[in-house]
Amino acid sequence: MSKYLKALKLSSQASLAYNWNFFISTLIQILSLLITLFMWKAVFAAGGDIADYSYASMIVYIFVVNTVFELIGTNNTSARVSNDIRSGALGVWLLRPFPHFFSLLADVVGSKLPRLPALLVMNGAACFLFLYGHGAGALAEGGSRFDISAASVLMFLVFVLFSFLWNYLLDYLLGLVSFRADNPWILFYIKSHVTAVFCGLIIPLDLFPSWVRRILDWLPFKYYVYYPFQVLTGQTAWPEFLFNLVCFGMWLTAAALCTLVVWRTSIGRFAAAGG
Amino acid sequence: MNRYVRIFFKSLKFNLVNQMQYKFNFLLMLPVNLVWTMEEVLIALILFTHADTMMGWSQYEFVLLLGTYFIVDSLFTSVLLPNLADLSENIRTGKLDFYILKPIDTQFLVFTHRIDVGLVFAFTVGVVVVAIALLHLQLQLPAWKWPLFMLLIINGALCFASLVFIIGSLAFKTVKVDFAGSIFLTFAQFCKKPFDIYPALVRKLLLYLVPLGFVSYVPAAFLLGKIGFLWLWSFVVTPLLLWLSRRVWNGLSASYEGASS
Repeated sequence: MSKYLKALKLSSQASLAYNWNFFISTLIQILSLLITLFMWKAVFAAGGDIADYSYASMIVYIFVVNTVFELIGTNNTSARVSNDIRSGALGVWLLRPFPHFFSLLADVVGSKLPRLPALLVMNGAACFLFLYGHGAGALAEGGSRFDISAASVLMFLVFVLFSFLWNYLLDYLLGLVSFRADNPWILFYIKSHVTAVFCGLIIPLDLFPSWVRRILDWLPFKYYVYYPFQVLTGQTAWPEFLFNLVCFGMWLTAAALCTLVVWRTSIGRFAAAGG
Repeated sequence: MNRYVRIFFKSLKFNLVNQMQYKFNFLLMLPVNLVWTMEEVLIALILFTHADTMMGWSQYEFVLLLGTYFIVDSLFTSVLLPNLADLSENIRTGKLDFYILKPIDTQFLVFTHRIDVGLVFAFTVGVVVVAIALLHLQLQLPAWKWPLFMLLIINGALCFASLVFIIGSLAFKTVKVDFAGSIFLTFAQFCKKPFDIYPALVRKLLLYLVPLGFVSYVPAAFLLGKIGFLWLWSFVVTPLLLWLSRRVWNGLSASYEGASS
């Protein structure tokens, strides 16, 4: 375990070396959030609520789900795995006394941890300012529709952890496709775009047409950000939470098994030349 | 000029041959372009199930704007973005020396040596989306609007390219321009929405300071008759921005020092 903690620490230190890059990226992310909010403002311009959302609660939704999406991001794990396989760098990893999968995981976690407080503060401040900019009514209403408690926060954190693991497993699995295809970057591209739409990042899933919702109920997209938000805001009861946790656990197990099978059946084909 | 057009098409041919080696990727290019565009159209369609209009823009007017943007974006994502990513690496490693030594304009070579042949698919998808939107809108447009619409799209592409040149040139000072890709993806988000949804100050900034408004909003709004004579500005802003981007490139590239051995 200590070797992974060392890797995590190294990665944390490396990520802090480019502070200005982080702040510019966060500012850009907030700017793109504002574009989404301007769009929602235009949709709400006719007045009234849309389904259960007021404009103020939509602002909170957009900020929370986008922050979670940033948290569960895996820093291009697919591309990194793919590059290691294609360039032969994986050969070096195979000589090391710790698995490639866990080393990359430690690296991703390590690069995220030091940025976590700044991300939460900047996104939280931007959300507050945006609500404040729309008047005290919006500010008061932004949180009043939600029933946030210590239990809901705890349940939310469990789901965010599961979402991160799921995202990492899926990205790692997609990277392993490089054992069979020369340059599968298109798969990474499709995954990122399909996920962004169907996880509820731009539009809450309950505003999708009912036939799309029925399909999405059977898929794990909702667990990325939409369901964690429902959990955080107290819109789910314990039995429903446990049911979804078990379902998500099954998706995670399936992804882990697939990753293991693909790794075991492909590693024998791997050849790296040169020094 | 002819020489540069010939070189561009030769480069396109070599890139086509190169990319066809990766059959898996090549065959997936069309579906990928469809996924990307359908994603945007789907979002628009879902939003319009909850609103009749968005600040005066109806559902298919919004789709027309998206199609116009897809046409301009095919140039950006297929030609400029991959080369922008290469630029800082070439400066850092000194590989830019090889570009400078070639008997051709360095800026042209730097920004066109890599061409993603998905350009053809992306452009076609954009044209199809515009055609579908126009079919639904059933506009009775005078004939003179069509060539002007196309000219405004070309201006939009040149405006976008100029902004890429200006931000790309910063690589000569900062070396790392990792954030440039994210900046342009945010620019793209601005361009994919009707500018009427933005507050007045933001709208003015996006028309006159960072003239993203001329990329897709002005061409689409012109075709739909939603703007007065603002479109005339496109013919002033575009050459000005091109001239400025050329000055910035020449100014900043002068500080480049070869690093190769």
